[in-house]
Amino acid sequence: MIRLKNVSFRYEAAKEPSLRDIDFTVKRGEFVILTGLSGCGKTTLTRVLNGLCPRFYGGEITGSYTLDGMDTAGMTLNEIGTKIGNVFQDPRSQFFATNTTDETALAMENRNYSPALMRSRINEVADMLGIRELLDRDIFGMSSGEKQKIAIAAACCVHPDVLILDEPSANLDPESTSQLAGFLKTLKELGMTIIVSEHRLYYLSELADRMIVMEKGRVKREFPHDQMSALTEGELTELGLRFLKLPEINRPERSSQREDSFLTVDDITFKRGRTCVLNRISMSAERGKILAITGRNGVGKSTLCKVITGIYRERSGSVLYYGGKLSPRKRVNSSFFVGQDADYQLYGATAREELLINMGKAPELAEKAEMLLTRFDLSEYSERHPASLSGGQKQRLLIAAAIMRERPLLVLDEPTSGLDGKHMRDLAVLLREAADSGLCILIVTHDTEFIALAADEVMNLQRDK
Amino acid sequence: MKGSERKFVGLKEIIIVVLFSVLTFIVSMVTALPFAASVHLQLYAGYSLMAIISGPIYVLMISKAPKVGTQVLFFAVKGLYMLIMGQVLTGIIFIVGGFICELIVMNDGYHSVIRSGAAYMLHMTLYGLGSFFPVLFLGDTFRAQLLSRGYDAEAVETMVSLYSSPVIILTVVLCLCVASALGMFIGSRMMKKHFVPGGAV
Amino acid sequence: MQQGRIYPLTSLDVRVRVLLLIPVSIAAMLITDETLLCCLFALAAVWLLMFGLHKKALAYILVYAALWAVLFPLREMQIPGSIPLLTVYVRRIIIAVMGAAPVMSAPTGRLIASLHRMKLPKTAVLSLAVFFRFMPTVSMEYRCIREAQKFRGIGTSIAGVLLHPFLTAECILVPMLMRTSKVADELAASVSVRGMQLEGECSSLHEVRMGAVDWLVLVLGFTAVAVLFAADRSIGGSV
Repeated sequence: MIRLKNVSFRYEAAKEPSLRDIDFTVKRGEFVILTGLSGCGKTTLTRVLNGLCPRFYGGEITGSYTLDGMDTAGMTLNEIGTKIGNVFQDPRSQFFATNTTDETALAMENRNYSPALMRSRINEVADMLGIRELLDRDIFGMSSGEKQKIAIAAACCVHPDVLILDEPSANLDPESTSQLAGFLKTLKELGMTIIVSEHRLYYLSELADRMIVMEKGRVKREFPHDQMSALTEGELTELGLRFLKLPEINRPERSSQREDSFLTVDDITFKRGRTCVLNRISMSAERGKILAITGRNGVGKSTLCKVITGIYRERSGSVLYYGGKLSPRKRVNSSFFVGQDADYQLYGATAREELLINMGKAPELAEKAEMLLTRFDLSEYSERHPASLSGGQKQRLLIAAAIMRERPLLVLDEPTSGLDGKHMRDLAVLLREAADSGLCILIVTHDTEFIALAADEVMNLQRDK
Repeated sequence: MKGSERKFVGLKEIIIVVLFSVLTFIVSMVTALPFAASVHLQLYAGYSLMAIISGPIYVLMISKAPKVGTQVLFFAVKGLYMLIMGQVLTGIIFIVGGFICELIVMNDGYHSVIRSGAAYMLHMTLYGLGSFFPVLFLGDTFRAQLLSRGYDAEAVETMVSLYSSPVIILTVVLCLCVASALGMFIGSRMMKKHFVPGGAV
Repeated sequence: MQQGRIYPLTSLDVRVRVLLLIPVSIAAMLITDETLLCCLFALAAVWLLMFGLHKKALAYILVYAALWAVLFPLREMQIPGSIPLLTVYVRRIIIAVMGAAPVMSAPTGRLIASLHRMKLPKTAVLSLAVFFRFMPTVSMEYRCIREAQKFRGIGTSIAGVLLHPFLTAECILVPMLMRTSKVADELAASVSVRGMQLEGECSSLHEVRMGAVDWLVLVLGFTAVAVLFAADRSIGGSV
């Protein structure tokens, strides 16, 4: 089905090639996982496969790429697109229409299908994937999981031979991830060739026929299914990958408040318009401990964190630090919130400048910044622009910025969503160190592996109505 | 079929230009708010602020989409808005202005800071003079229209004399030219400092 | 945006919405008599309600009423300057905006389909679709940026903004532009692999057809505005 021979690719603006001498074959109907440390080239490989490199993202390509027996060198993006369907990572930026049905029909409209054929395909795909109730809705109100399902449906409507997915579980909660696995199983049973570029391996371990691990632009190892299942945790850690099975979590539940906690949340209510997002929530947290906050998507975890850190003002109830009630403004000054999307939170021109923004010019601060950069493994990037760093590096930079400001409370919202195994483990170690030095850390996360490594206690937030 | 070889705006460039035009449109709406109470403040400070803030947006936009059609699309959002608001004359002037900006940057004009800057300056100046055009070109008809619509005579006279005063027009043009140049300068600084190293281009 | 609920005009052909927008805007600018202007406003409010845009209609009614209430005392007090001008001008703009609201709230798929049928060039159609798709998201993105800034102590108070204008502006513009740039690239990639091109034919899921209701509304709409015009003329306003 797909055959890459000796393919190398270098982006126009880059000095080094991102892919080197890739030999890669995929048979029809195979399910392949592409994985590896961030920066290994898996995204570039998916772009070569779907034709975006070099047609959209300019650059130099060598080697041959045969798709279903045809040489792709002369094919246009559109022609490749009829054979390969794509699901990209960020649902917010891949949707063109505002209505889900329109989005599903987009690929077909562009290929001039008749309205009757389009409607029948939409019905067929909706039944196959069980998403009828998601049709004809406004995408602005939908959750990431729902959007991802629509994206898959949209890709399937033109009956592609191959489906390529780029980190599809990045923004999904465990329930949505298992639904995603169900979708992929259905598609595999229908004979579709599926290539998934992913860090999270546990939900695919049963489905995959092969797993390919990349490193620095080359194919490092290839594991057929049996060998893959036989990999030990030690071997996976060495490869920098996440585990193939989710660990058990046996951490104490943080249920009720305790006296003399550092952070106390007392009977908080928060409303958005008429919807009650947080209904009389109470909890507490200690300095020196890491508390993981879990719960389904939409239950209000991020909102709770924003109330705790003072971004939002509570409708009723109070947030207390050391027993003293604080106004939202004071809370902002005593905490640091690292949100999901690093793009919104980086302002400096260099990594070093990022740590020193709005902090003044005292020489001790510059020294402290240097020390933090070293400790967070960023000193070789200290002159680089923050936006050019990888996801994991941006996370570390933001946490370093938090520690620069010496705030006692650090709150992180899904810090591991795009992280590979190695960086996820490194982050757990870093946070552990930060907690040991006295910080109170709250982490909103779905990442079970991360919770097992980093959290001292777990709190499950539920909607109790 | 590489994007850099085509002269006209392709799909990628249209998306880029429209998204950045949305930003400048919003900037123009938002910078008008604090000065809404006083026409003079609006004319000198409000529009100038808009020209300064929109500078980096323009600079990044033209470095990502230096094609024929970018200027017209850039102006099109504001032109369409004017048309919908019933300011037909101003809307048409904006659209014509867009084409003139195209001519300014034709034939590799985007490589020249002077020409790209001139197009930006023209854009901002035309926008700032938007309220002047009905008075300047329609004169008495406009005055009569306003009177009949319930504006009282004194206010109308003040307004007409304001919008037809050469001194004020020149001051506005001057303010906007300076502000545009400043905006372009800030934009080029930001390009070097942020957008290029950050990979936005 | 209403989901799922059907209001009387939810499926009104987008072309009718666009076509009726024109006389409403023109009328808003040209009608001279206050009472008739208020009638036009009332029509516009009903127009919005028929699409289920209750919240918008209510907001506009409140603003209009406030402006009207302010206008008369101001006139009495003979205050010169732009505030009285503003109240007159802004009320008319509100009516034009209300006329445009049903066009902007149409799902982009139908909007594109209708514009296509009106034989607009594909460049224009795509531009409008992208515009309507992204206008609503900008405010959300802005809010995200501002929220994150608070922890760095940027932009938290008016004094802070005035003292450090460049820093505040840089810290808003840089993330906003970087983000917009990224979104633009990703969106373009996403639609390119799905076959979107400027050249070439494309079909439409929605069949754009004028039904009896569409014609009826079109005719009624034009007639209503024409009646207001005529009444205005006869009262003695000059158009």
